[in-house]
Amino acid sequence: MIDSNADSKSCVPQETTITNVRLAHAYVPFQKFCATMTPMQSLREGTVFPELTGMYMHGWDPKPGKERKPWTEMLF
Amino acid sequence: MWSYDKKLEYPIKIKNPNPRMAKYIITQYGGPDGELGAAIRYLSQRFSMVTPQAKATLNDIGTEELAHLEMVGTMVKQLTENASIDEIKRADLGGYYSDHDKAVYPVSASGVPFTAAYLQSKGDPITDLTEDMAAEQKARSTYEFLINLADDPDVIDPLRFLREREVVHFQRFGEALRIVEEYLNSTKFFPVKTPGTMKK
Amino acid sequence: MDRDALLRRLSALNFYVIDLHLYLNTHPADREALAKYNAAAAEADTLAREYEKSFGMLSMGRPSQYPWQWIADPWPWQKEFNFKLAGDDM
Repeated sequence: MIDSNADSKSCVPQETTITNVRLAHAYVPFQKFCATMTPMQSLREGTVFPELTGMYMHGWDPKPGKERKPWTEMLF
Repeated sequence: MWSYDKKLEYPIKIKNPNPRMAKYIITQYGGPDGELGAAIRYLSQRFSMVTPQAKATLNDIGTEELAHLEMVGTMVKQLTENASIDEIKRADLGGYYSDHDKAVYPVSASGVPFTAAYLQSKGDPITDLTEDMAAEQKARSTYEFLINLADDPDVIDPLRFLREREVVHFQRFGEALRIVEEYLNSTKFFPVKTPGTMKK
Repeated sequence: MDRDALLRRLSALNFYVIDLHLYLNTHPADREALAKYNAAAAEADTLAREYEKSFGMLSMGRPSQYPWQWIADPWPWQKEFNFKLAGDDM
């Protein structure tokens, strides 16, 4: 599977501005498609999208064990 | 309708029995923030959804939660199947064993049986999707606490996978909420219900 | 490929397909995502058929040799069904 021309530096995998926001409404930014990890790495991480990893790190001990490659080295 | 794929979504092969971990992990089988509640919640709420994106999202995440339920049940089974009665007693699992042997039964970590009170299907798609986002965060936190309690990589790896799925699901429900809100906001016609007294 | 290697690759591909499927549910007009989904789904299908030739039925409605293969052990919750996720990438 060949990746597209998506360059990890110029492709931002989400919208960065949300307009017309209203009081008492919740907004989650839309994700945008940039790059995916390999199928094997995706299965290990629990998602194909590197931008959805490494979040909410405050409440637990990840117990990494084996050294994991940074996601920028996992694109294909 | 449903088809079954004869494999787990993520492999589970736990070499060392650990009934104490089973006692904790079972909370994601039958507990307040577990996979059974999530599956029933989403598969029930899908009937009230508007927009095809939201219907598909509820349908398919609900389906994936059943696959996660299977994983949690598998973990409980593998953690207890070769444990001795003595290990069961020392893990304080004697109460559960009295009622269920080493079977898998939907209870929380403190032995409270599953109840539909853990979920809601409110009919208002915004309300339901907001609950779903909360549910995903609760499940994420629970997996984090379970990972804190665990030390066996055979156990931690599937828990980490399940935890990451909750983050992804939160993102999808958030996107579905945006789509539903935009849809509801765009209809210029505001239907007015006829008060009961005016019905012919 | 032996059974474990086949199942490992198939599980990875199936999961890739699932995660993209959920993305497409909220991004139905994303051509790039759809292209990746279709490519992965086709590869997963080919691999599933190869697995089934030697190692039994994978889903309902698939053909079976004699005797009826669907019931055969091991089932997915059994330890012996599952493989270990290796350190190497694929």
